[in-house]
Amino acid sequence: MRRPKARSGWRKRFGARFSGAASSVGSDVSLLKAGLCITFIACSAAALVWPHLEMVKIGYRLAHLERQRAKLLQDRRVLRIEVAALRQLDRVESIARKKMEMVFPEPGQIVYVMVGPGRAN
Amino acid sequence: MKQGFSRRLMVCGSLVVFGFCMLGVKLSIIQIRDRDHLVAYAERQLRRTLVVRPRRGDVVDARGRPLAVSINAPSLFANARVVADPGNTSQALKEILGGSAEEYFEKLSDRRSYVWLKRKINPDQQGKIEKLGIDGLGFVTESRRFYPKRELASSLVGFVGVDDAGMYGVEQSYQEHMGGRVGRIRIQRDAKGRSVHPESRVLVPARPGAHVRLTIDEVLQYIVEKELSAQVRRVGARRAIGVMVEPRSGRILALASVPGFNPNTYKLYGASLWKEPAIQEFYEPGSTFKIVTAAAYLDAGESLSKKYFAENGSYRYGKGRHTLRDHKKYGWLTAEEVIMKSSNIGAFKMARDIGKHQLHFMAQRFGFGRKTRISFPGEARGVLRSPEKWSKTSLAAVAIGQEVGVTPLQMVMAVAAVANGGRMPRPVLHDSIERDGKKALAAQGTEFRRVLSRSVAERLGALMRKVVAEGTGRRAEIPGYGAAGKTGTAQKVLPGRRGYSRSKFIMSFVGFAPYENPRFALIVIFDEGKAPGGAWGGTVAAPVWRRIAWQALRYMRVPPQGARVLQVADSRPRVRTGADPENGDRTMGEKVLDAARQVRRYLHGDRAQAASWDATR
Repeated sequence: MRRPKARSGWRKRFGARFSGAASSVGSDVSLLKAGLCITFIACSAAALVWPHLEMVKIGYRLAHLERQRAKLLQDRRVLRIEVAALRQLDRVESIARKKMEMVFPEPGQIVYVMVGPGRAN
Repeated sequence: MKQGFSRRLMVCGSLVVFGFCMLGVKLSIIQIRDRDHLVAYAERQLRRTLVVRPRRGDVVDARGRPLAVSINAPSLFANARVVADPGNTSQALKEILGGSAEEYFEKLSDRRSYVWLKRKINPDQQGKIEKLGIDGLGFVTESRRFYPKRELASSLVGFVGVDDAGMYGVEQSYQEHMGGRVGRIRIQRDAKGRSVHPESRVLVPARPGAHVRLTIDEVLQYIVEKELSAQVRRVGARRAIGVMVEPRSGRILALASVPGFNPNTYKLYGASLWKEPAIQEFYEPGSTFKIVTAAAYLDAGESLSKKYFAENGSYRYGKGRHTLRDHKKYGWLTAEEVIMKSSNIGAFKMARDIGKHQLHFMAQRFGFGRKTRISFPGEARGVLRSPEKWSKTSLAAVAIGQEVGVTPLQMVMAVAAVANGGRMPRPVLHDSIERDGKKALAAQGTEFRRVLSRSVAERLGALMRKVVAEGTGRRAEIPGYGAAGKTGTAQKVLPGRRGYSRSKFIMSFVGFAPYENPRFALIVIFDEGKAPGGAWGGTVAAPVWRRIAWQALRYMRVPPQGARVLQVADSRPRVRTGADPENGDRTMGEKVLDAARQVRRYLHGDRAQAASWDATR
């Protein structure tokens, strides 16, 4: 009985692939399927996670904008107080009298303007 | 060989199985036994419930000018256990915040985990402290109240305490509306403790404080306070009070007491200044109360031309044990002249003719001895005893304004009733209470109470006009307008003793103007003081009343008789109707506006038309 001849090195390594072409094609298809599956799962996961991440990002931005808004409102209130303080009537009268040398008009110096119906020309 | 392999395999398998069993046990411990605790722990780490403190509502005047406003302010606290060097820290804080280093040191040495160092500091100070980088110091945002007009209407507006709760005045009476409601929200935090906004959930919505719009007008309030202050300085009065009311609505236009205080630093002033004497205190009105005597006299059907002998300046009554005095020997006077010259003897004799029940009844109808139901805390009732409790001298005393206690507000409301044809309005202090631009509480409707018939009110008004034109109140006359009023000079009750002081007086003038079409009723009162011509209501209070009234009428744009009036046409665009003869020469913009109005009217009905009218007027 003749013993089968020992395969050379490259045949040992690649022989299996060349030995059955049909089985090689089948394994490639399953690999492809697995790859597609993995890709699909990864995409699905990304699709699920991405909106959440976006939402968190928007949330941070919103929180930041709200802080900014609160700060601007606070500034507005402070400025309003400042305006009200500057419009204190004793201060205004003092400036009018001392700096601008204004006086209260005498009764005879006042002209009353009555606005009636009709259009001004 | 084969047996050894199998044994090793068994051992390894057993170890793996054991390992998985242990994992299973741990998993069941985590998932079943410690589940609740761990879930709560994670919740605590991730989520946090925040208390949202509402901003306190503002107080504004009738034209929306702010009288009290809140802003956020940082408050400094310390975890004294963490602060490493209390000595240097307290020194640094003293340099930034002021105050005493010893006080800060004492607080920081207390080793408490939460101690307030200073509340409601300004943002600059916060920045400086943050730059120090001291561990254990932190800030909490609180609300801080500011009163930008300082002393103006201070006793009326009042102030809030450290915890933002109203303590006096309007701040106290409208606390329920202005305080708002504390809210709670749950937020999710990230690793840095920042809020992840989409996860926040409102547990209890915060409700901001409502803004209170008062009926007070800042300019009128200023005029009253300015003139009162000037006279207080001039005559050396202890204090002065002024109240201005619109007779046809009861709206309080000004309510002043001098000296005032700065509500921003209220602790620096005595508690006696925090009260509003125009509402919360009463006084013996003296001769201004003769208005009530005259009203009762007229209401009883008596004639003003009836004559009374006002003696020779002195009249003994009550079996000669009591004496009534006039400051002049008047002799015979008509009832009209009794009021015009303010004769005490004549007033007593008029009151004697109508009787104590009629006098008491009229005082009651004017609302004396009862609260006016103004929305202000601690309103005084005044004093008006029932006639059954009157002594033998009470008729004479009440007729001239003694043995009765009235608040300045009651007195001016009585005159407002005379000015308003005998119908007394209920005093109104707020125009509206608004939250988020919407009315949280509608304006208090005007309520009237008839206290005098129209004819009696008209005759009494004419009598008060004569007091100013020819009587004791001549210094209150406003040329071109005509004023009506009554002077009053009341001796002050001796504190802790029976009887009245001979040197201390309360001088007042109460009246309304213009006489023909009254726009306001005003009372001014001076507590003590000296004047060159003698300290009388007619010499101290009446001139101030005139100055205030003249400025107020000018501010209200009421022209005096004989004033130069320039008639000009209204330059504002008018809403045109189909019947308008000028309808033909409309511009394209006006045509478009009209078309839009028609569409709106078609969609919303006549209400839209009415609203657009309101908006354009």
